[in-house]
Amino acid sequence: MMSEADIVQTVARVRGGEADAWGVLYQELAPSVFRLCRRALPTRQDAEDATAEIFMKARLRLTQYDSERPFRPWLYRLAANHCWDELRRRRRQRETGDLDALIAESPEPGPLTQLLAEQDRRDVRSALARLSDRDRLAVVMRYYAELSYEEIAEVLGVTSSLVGVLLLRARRRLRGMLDKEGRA
Amino acid sequence: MNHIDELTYLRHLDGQLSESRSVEVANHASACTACGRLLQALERETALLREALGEADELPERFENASQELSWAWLSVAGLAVFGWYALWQWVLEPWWNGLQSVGIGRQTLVSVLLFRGLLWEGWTTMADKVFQGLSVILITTVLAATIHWSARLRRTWTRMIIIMAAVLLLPFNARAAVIETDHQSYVLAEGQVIANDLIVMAKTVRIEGTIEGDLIALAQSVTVNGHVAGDVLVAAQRLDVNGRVDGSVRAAGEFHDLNGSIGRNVTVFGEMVQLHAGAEVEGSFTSASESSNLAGRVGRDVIIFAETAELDGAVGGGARLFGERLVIGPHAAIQGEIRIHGAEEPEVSPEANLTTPPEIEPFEEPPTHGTAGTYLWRFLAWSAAFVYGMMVFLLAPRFFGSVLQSMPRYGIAIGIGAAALVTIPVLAVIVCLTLVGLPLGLLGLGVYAVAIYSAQVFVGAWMGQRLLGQPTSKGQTIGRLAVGLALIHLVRLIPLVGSVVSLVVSLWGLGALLLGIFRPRRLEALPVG
Repeated sequence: MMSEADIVQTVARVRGGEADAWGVLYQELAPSVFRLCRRALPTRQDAEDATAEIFMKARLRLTQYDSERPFRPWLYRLAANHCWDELRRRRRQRETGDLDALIAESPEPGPLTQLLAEQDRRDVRSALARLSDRDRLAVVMRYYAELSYEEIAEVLGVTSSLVGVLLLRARRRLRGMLDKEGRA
Repeated sequence: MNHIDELTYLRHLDGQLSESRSVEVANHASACTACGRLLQALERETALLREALGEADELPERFENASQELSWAWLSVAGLAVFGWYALWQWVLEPWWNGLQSVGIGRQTLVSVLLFRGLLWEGWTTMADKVFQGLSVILITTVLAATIHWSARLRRTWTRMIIIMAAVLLLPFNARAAVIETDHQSYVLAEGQVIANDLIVMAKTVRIEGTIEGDLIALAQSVTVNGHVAGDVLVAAQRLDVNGRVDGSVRAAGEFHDLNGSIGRNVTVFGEMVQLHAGAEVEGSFTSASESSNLAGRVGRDVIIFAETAELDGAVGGGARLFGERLVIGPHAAIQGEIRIHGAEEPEVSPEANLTTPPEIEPFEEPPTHGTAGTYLWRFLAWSAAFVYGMMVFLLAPRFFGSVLQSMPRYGIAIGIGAAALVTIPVLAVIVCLTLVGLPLGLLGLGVYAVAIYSAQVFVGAWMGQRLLGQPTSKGQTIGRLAVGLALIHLVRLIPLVGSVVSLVVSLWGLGALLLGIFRPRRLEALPVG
């Protein structure tokens, strides 16, 4: 696995016109971008297609990348943007629910911890797939791509304070689904 | 004690609170048992979420570098398939090949035949070289353009295939000088005129009264050879008349073939009517496939005729094999070798015919299509051939293979496109064939068309296998699913009527998906370009 410095150096080689450098970068980063897409999009095929499209976009927008900053988060943000655009385009799910009500709820330790320990992680990913598009993408961006609230907000077109609400709602829904499955 | 809400703890863990607020929250969690449990639970939850999200899952093969070993099971399947091919060669192809050699065809190797250098195509090399050179230039240019502009996905599949094709096309380069005549309504090589090289001519009518010291290659409505051709005569014409002398072989396709002159080597003709008139001479063998064939002239070696109606009434230096509905051996026939007659009706053999051995008559039987051991053997051979072919396609062009499989679920569109392509492609190819430049291109198109139809079963089979056994995670599994899917298709084909319908649907579906896979929008194929 390449270090972030190696990646940035490889990006510089791409910009310098080295023919093979983009291939190296692709081999290194495509798996993680694919996983991000796989978590965010409904099907494996969608994720494969999205990964290919994201790399095409990345290649075209490489001039916009600030080489003083790490490349991976830049790519992840691009990927998340792409996934969000794709999800919105499909309009598979519409956001519903009263977000404000969540904040007022009393704090209780959820069962997710225990459930996660007990259940197969595949169930978690399966539950994740049943979240609304926006909730799911928020979780993926935060806990897979490690993007900041500001970056997530920028992708989703919301305020950064709402990102926390989205994450909390998503986690509670995950708990609910896993709890229900655990009891079933 | 007032508790802090869960959202605040979440923001605290995610580093979204100000430093002072964060310290305040942490202090509260230390002091409050309930809030402390909540914070710890959230921390563990976050860690586990990260773990679940980051856990490696099956990656598409395109993202993996390491090739995976084929499992023993699929190697066994491959072994069976190889055995199938061996059996096909041993029991079917080789006897045929030997048979062809026995009638004077087959001096070239099978490989050279596949490269269009032997058998029926012998002598086409002069013209083919020109075309191949042009095609190769186009292909090489395409390769360069693809390398620069296309995505890596295409680079790794189509470009690879194009390079192979270019290499194959470049192999037969053997440029020879030739006279090329294409600007004539009616071309005549007058008596006394001599062409020292090959003559390639396209015209409405072609008449050779003079001498050609090389080959005559003609595409015309009618071709008449009254003069002398020292090489071979290769003709695609509605009508061919050979009244003069040809030192080499005559190979022709058209409607009517009248052979009156003398031919130094072999004759191979395909047409509606073939006549070797009395007085005409063929020193080598004579092979024809036509609606009717009438041989009254002399043939030096063996004769093999496929015809609805065939009449053999001349001298034959070798043996004769006649296949047809109505077969007649006339009173002037004088056949030196053994005679094998394979017809639907009882053949007519004149008592005055001079035969050294009595004809061996094999009554024509409708080949059983279902329910016999031979049928199952054939089906097995067909399955093994399709499997080996499919495996080659997959291993040579895995992304292209995957791209076509992705189009399979769009079966409605695929079948529609397949149905349209099934009709339009051959029509277009025939139209392209109508020009001299387009002839090889059209033939190439027809060849590709045939390959595409054959390939259809491979993609349908692979897709069915994946539906039955689940998504493959390795090359071995993909090949295994291909084997299973193809086996299913070939089993269903054994069922009368249903098998035919299934074959048609498979062809349409697979062909359509193949086209969808090829013309998939580029934006979906974006991979790194060099």
